[in-house]
Amino acid sequence: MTHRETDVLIIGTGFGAAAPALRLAEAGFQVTVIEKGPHIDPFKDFRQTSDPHYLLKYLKGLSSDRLSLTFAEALGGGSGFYEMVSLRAPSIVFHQVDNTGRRLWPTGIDRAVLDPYYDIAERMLHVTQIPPEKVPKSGQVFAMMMKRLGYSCDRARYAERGCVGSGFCVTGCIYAAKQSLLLNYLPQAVAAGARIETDLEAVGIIPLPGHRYEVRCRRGAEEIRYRARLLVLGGGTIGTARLLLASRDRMPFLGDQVGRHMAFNGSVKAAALLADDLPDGDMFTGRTHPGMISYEFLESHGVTISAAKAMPLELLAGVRLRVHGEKRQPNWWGVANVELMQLCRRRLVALYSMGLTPPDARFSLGAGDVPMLDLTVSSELRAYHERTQELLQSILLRNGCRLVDIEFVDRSGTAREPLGFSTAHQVGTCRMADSRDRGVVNAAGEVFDYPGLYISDGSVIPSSLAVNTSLTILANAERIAAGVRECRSRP
Amino acid sequence: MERRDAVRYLVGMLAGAATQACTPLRILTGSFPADFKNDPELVDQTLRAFGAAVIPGFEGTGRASRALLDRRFPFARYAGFFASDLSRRARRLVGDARFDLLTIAQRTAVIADGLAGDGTTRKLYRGAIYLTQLSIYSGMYDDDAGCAFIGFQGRYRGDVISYADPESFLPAPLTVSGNAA
Repeated sequence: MTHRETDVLIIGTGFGAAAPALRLAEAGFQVTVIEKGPHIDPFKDFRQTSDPHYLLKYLKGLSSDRLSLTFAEALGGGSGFYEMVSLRAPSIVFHQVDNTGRRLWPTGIDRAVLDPYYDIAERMLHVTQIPPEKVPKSGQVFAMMMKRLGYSCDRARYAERGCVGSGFCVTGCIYAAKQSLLLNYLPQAVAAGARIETDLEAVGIIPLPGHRYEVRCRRGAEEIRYRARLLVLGGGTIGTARLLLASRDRMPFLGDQVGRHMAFNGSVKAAALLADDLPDGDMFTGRTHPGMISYEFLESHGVTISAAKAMPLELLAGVRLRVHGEKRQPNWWGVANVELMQLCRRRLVALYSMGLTPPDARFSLGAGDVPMLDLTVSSELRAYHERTQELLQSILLRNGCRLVDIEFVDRSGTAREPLGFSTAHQVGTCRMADSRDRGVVNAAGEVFDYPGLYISDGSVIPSSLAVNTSLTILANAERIAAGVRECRSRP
Repeated sequence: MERRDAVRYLVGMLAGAATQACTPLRILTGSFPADFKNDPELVDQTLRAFGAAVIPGFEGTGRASRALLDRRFPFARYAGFFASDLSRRARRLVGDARFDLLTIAQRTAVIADGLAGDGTTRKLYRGAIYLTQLSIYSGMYDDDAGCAFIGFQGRYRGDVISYADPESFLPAPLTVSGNAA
């Protein structure tokens, strides 16, 4: 066993970890960053591929019958594999309340407070609104459909420099055009003196006298113990909750909120074959997120709507598609399925929404510390799903499209529950709150009753955002890092 | 027959019957014809024929068996049993144990029969279809080739990604910058 000392230990290298790593290193702290996943060289390691073995090396999943999550375990966290959509959470997000009428976000945190940190995050990631001439065909067709119905649609914002629209955002950008953290925060943190170790998993936290922390880490059979004056958890919504739950025996003041209140952006999907009077889309080429987002129904339905694409192509195998009303059997394989698949690239349109669904999912560790997810579908959530699906289908049908039924399957090919949600936008397992009976950390990101222990990743975000979560996680991490810098003296 | 022998005989009969009827037991005990354990070519031919029925018209059906036999996927452990099950059902339904010699319609009927089987059998057949579709449509063994059958070009080669008159597609925006207020 090896013992090491550092001023600041940061666990994780994704959107929640990179900002504190950089800012605290810049402030003169001795910063060590550990990452469970493998090292990635953004100029060499990414591939344009549909090879599941490549993807599964970096992307992990966790599922229950109602909820299916995807997250990354690699240097840079999800940033190497995200769609690079970088949107600010709308103001309405911060006003959400729980079923007792209490605000989900802690006092004093709202869009106006986050805006300066969004500014910083956007500058770092070179976030810009996509110009009209770069909106991919699928986005153009979606925009045209909204236009025909008199609805608004906005060009979305992306973290990129020199995107060619290859369509392989989620397998990692081989052109280094997508602004992952591998191109900015992490190398800048290293330049400022931070040390990054990969393939090193934190497996337990032990509080020490004097508000210091020891973290047990594992790399294969090797065990390393880090001692730090400041400990920042940034391993993501699942990773951080898992580490805290696994450390519960040594952390008696932790409370019972860890793992609870997970929000998941209530994603609902609908698909159709385009009407004859609509031009071709392109499900394969062009940015993975096809350029456009509609806020038209944010106030009325609590959702944003975008078009979806089918990359990587495993996604197409992961769903059973059949033209609604298809009488031929079999309809999800064989001739009928082949006919549909051959129309897929040009004539299939898929819409998906992200919504302000309540934080009703829960992450826990079962026997043997097996990770478990639970989502009880409330009548409210069921109504949301039906209402949103009707809305998406209505947009398709009023454009003359022919609906395509979607049935999601798991890796064994078995159909999932019809009312289920799949997402990479899970947040909130260690949410910020005004008091320890409602959350795990205070508004500054410090764990209640554990001075010097901070959480800065998606797990502290207390609600669904109705847009992609990465920019908000990063902005909030910048805010938390600024607070740590301000209140913690350098050694 | 003594009582003890009768019991032993009965237990043996029941065990044999259960093994024949129960897919998990047959997999566990390796209770399927030796041909499908010892003849990789027969298994491969059968699985290719399966792929041709799952994705009719796809010409590279040689690729269809590759994922099912790929030891990096758990399915490979069951590939021999699965091929033998196709053969067994083919014999029962069509009277010909050579699944690969059946017409596509006959093979489709055999696969549908498997999908209507017990829980384990259904899972096995669904998994085989899923893996076949995944491997072929995604072109997972060849990043360059993709899957021309569905117009997937594989690696990006400079395709035009947008229509030339972009403004004509776009409705009025609700925001100034793309961010909601």
